[in-house]
Amino acid sequence: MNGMSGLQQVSDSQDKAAVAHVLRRMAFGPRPGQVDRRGGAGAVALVEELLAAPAVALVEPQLGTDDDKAAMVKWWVKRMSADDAGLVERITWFWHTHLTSSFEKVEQARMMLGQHRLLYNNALGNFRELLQSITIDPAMLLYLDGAWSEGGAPNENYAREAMELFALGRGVYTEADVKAGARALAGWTVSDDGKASFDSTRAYDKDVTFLGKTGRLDTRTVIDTICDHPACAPHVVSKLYAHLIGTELTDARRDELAEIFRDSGLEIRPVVQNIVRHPEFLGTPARYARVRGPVEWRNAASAVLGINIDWNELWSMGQVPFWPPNVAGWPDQRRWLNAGVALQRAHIAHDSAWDSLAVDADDHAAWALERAGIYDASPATIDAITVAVARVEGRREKCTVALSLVVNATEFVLC
Amino acid sequence: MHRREFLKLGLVGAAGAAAATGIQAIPNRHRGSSSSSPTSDSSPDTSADTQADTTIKQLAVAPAKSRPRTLVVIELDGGNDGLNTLVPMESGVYRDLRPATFLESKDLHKIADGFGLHPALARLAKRGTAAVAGVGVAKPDGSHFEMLHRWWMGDSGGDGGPQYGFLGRLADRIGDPNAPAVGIGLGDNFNPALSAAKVATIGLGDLSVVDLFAPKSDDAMLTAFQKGIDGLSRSPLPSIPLAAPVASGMRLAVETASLLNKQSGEQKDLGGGDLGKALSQAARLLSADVGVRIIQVTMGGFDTHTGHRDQHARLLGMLDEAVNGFLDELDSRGLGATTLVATTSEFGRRTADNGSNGLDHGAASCALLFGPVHAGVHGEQPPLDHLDDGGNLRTTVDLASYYATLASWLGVDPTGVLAGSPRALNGVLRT
Repeated sequence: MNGMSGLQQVSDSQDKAAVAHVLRRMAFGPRPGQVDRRGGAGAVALVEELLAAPAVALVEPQLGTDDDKAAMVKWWVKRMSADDAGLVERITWFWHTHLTSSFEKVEQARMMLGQHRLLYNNALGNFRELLQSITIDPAMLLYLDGAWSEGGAPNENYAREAMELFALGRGVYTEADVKAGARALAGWTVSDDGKASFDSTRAYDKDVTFLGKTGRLDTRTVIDTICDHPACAPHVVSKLYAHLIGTELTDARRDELAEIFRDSGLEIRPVVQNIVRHPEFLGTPARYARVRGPVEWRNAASAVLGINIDWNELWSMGQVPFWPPNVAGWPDQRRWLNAGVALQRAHIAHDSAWDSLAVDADDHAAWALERAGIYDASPATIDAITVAVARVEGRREKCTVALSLVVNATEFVLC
Repeated sequence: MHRREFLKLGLVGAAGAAAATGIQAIPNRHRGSSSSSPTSDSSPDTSADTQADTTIKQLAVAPAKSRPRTLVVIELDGGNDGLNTLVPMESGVYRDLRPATFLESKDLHKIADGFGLHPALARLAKRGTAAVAGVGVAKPDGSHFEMLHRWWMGDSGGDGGPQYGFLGRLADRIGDPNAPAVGIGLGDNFNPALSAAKVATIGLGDLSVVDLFAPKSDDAMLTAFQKGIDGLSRSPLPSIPLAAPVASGMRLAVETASLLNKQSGEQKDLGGGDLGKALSQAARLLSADVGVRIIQVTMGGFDTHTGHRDQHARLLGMLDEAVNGFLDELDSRGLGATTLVATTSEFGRRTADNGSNGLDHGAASCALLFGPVHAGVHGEQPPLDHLDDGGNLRTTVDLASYYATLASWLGVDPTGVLAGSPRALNGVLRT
């Protein structure tokens, strides 16, 4: 209350709330102080900054130890938690939830690193090229069994999932397309040292009819045929929209985004750009319309609490990078709102916040909310934290209670 | 399957301690006040949150014989080798199929003519085990995920029919919609088998997490935190559609944790590793009689593509110790006659060795039941000289019949929860 008019303050907090929203969606923020450090530049300018920011060069992890898989997870969550983690990092995370593979079947971390590099380098690139590349990515060949598929005994796993989950959605292809696609894609192998190669003697040597196209189709033609299918653009833009906006996508908006995607030759950046530049991105319905899943929550909560929450806690909440439960990625985000995960979040926050920070403040609830980047907290949230903070004495105690609660507030569990 | 990775990563200590939780749809907990159960069981009617304390006090003095029947399901994750669990004795065919992994007849615990249990199952063999031979599906699939899904959903054909898990459907039939949790998964991520439409089912990695909501009046900071979480869970934010499920999830967490904290009795060390730990918690939960009717526990490590003999013996040894300790514990709490313990596993293993001292994915397996059961072999052992095209045991007991047996234990008509009108297996249950 430093003498400004009430109106001015409301406007400030609204601006800050919008900036915080952009950082939550286009990056993994806001980190404590990040919104204030921006000074007066508003949300619209920030969207452009994040769009224009060059990708941070990928500094690859040291592999070759007994614990390579853990090293990979630690490496990525640390990158997501960095101050300069931006849009490329964000969209790479999206692609990992969509074109996914798991250590469950990919035994070598080096292969998973290869797939990760592919997603990172093409995060805002061309979808057709990304799908072409990931189809013959060694980790994917192992994860969806392309590596064992022969023309005479095709494995249908990849052909099915590429259409059902990755590019088209159910209902636009037949079982015959799955079988034909599997035959046409057969012949790839992965060597012990993690290299993919095509062995024509294991390929299918006859014509197939796949999604209406007949001939000796090679891998590139199969993927092109999928990408040329009218269902591809709407399917992929819907996924991007859900990740970036979270509200229901209208048919009109989907068609609009699909057209942009198609007209650009399946370039990802123009679609992302259109989504985040559209007024609905900053609109009220989009605020807190997504769930901060365990990975995002763990990283954000670590920053707010001022400690590094052990990445193993991700197991306890049910989401560990590089370990999706199945080819569909992680389950519906509402799952993270259920009682068991809620209890785990409370447990982690309570355990971690102890003694992490001790500062003086007139109002520790307000201090914690600001630290958490919540500038539009509901009166009920403010009240719950304020009442709890008032029950303890001492700045260390007040900080601890306020911080451990703020990361469990609805405005923090959602994003 | 995460659990297996846990083991591989050597995280059992850290992760086991704080482990997981996953969950299920937030049920409409206040939809109705009466149970939808077709049976007139004695589910506690915790019709209002504020009455929970009273309810517990009332139930604590209820004689054990009035306790409702409960079911504890242990999922042997990865595909348990049925052929080395329930082993044909003096069988040359068996021995020839798996020269690297066969078991000597003299080491087995004979439970029926021509059949013995694995040497590591000494306590359970002595105590009385019902082994159901040949459990599986008509058209097996080699994928863990596909087969786990069929088992979770009780969908033997893999038709994708059921929307909720098999255990969740049972919970819906017998549970109190107002109970904080009718089904609880312990020790691993929330098991989709527990997903329910009407009643609450939750996953708790470790019950110690609920200590967070134990009353500790001398701990001002913990009390403040508890009050704060309670306050946050009562904060509906009308402008945010997702705020309602956030609040209800947290509310359910607080209520479940508060109630479970009041469970009686100390936690005993049953042995048998993480499984024993989870079962010890299960005993406390059932003993508290707060409306929990179904408990699910996952034990990983059964995907024995290599080093089968040692690994399988180690796992069954843990199962033996943990389940035997659990049954003792149930008996001492007067719950032995009302608790059925049953195992599931997505598939068995290949009948023949794979060349690296292991066994690849198979088809039919055997399932084990403990507690109020008739010991011995049930179902029909699939013939070793009439394998399917993949070299696997053919199914003689469909998973639906096995599940029908579990349903009937709980007084649920199997045809109401399983497709194809399956019938419960005769003679397995003692009552």
